[in-house]
Amino acid sequence: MITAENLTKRFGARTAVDDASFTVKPGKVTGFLGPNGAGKSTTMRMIMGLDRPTSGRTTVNGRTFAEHPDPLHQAGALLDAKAVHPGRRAVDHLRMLAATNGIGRRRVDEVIELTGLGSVAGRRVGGFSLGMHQRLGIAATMLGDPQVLMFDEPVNGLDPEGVHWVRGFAKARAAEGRTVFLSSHLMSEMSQTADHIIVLGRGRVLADAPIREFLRAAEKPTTRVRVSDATVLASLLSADGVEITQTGPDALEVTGVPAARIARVAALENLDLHELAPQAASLEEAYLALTDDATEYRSDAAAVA
Amino acid sequence: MTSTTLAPSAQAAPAARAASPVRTTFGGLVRAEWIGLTSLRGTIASLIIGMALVVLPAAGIAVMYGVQYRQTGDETMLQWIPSAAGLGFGGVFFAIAVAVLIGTGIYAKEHATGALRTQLAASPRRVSTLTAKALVVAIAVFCATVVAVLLATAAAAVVLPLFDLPVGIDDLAAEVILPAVGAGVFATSAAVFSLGVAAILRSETWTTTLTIVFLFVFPMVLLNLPWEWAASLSEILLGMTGQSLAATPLEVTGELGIDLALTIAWALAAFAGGAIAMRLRDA
Repeated sequence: MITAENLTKRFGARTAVDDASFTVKPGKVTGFLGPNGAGKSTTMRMIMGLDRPTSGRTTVNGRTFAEHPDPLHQAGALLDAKAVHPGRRAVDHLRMLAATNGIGRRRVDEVIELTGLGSVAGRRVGGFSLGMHQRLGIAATMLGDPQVLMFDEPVNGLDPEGVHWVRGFAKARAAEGRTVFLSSHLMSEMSQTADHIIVLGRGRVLADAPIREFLRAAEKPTTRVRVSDATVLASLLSADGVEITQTGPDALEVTGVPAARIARVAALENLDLHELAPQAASLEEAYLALTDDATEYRSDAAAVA
Repeated sequence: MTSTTLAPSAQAAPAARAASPVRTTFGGLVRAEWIGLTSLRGTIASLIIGMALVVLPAAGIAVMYGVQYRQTGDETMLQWIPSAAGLGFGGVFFAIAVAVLIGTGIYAKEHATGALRTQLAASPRRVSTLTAKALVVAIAVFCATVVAVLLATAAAAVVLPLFDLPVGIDDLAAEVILPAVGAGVFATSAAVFSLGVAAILRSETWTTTLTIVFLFVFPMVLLNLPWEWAASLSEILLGMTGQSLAATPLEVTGELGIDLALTIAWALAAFAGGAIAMRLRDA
């Protein structure tokens, strides 16, 4: 289990992480979401003892990470897949990390097999593709057979097969009862991998909930309607808290009224319904709504229009 | 990327975790650093090139003297030609330069590539990690330097008699063994010094440049200044104290003890600075 208590990190005048508190529980994949610059990587580095918190604390399985006598057995972290000496062979990189924790060569061979690196283990890392780097990083996290696994943007730049592999790997480890904590700025990715999400924006925790709950909370029932007289139906549905947008001569988008009620109102007025399609809120939309004010680096809308 | 079927856990179940033999020990960190050092072709190549730069010039210069002596038959040459030990220790400068490169690289290169952060995420004890690096680099550099100067002296001692020139070594301990150990200590101190500076500066280029300037240029500049204090200051700098340990013949005196202490102190001071910087800063 990972905990963060009132975690704050400042770099000069800039606050990267601002009083963040959360718990990452075992047995599930917890997604750590946030726009670029939200403070996800900084938080992860603080959990692993690489960055020192300005205030607050983090624990891994009840202690700060550096206090564990067997760190690799407690947590394995892939924070930067490229953070490997390019002149070193993959197997030597793993042997070196294993040796720091007294882990033998047999386990190195096991994690090489586990991550499918057998055919390239003897090659120097400088020639590796990003996918191979990611696998090597994941292999390193598994050296100590840890209870906690933490991956920072593990699918960035991977091809679909690689993404599928990482997804399966994370889910399988969580199914074993491990704590799996992975960051991403891709909502679509999280929706397919995570059971629980923590959303960070400008260093603050904006949401900490199971994915379904997160969606429900953000959801506003929107229904696409095509009807014989859109103007009449719109006037009948108008009420406080109801948003109606006429998207065509016979088409409306209605937010704030359940689809069943729209159907009832149309039937009472003898209006012909041609389409009645409830729209589920996507995680992406819910996330964008949540982080709208917390996005550090925003593209110019005019430029992309 | 090829897909891999994940075995439904060959991993230990959480319930069986208490029996894990995984532990971070200083011995493990030293072993890790040894693997790290020896797994890089560049480091091994640097050590070999450094040794070659000590040995080959000694043999080459001995051959040059021999050829000149044979061609001219000039007996006065016997009075000024260096002994085999003198030739053997002529290339210590190269050993020191390589020591600086290796001491710098073991920290700065690992830091620049991010490999150090990966390592610290696996074993977060920073000062122990730096100490293990220092120990490994010290052992490697000391052994390589001692072997190099002994080989260089041996090469010169083999070549000189081929041209009827004397080896010129009367006291093996004072003229070869002690200076070889002294050269090893000098190179080791230079390597640990540069490791400490690298931990402070976190830059391979800056560390190498400043260390070389500090070892070889700064003392010379001070010596040439017209003030007594400048000359006195130059005598206590690492470049000068270290050189005096590698002089041949080496007489065991109180002054030698002071030079030895100062040489080691410089390395320890830089190492302490690096350890403090590493401990206090974000990785």
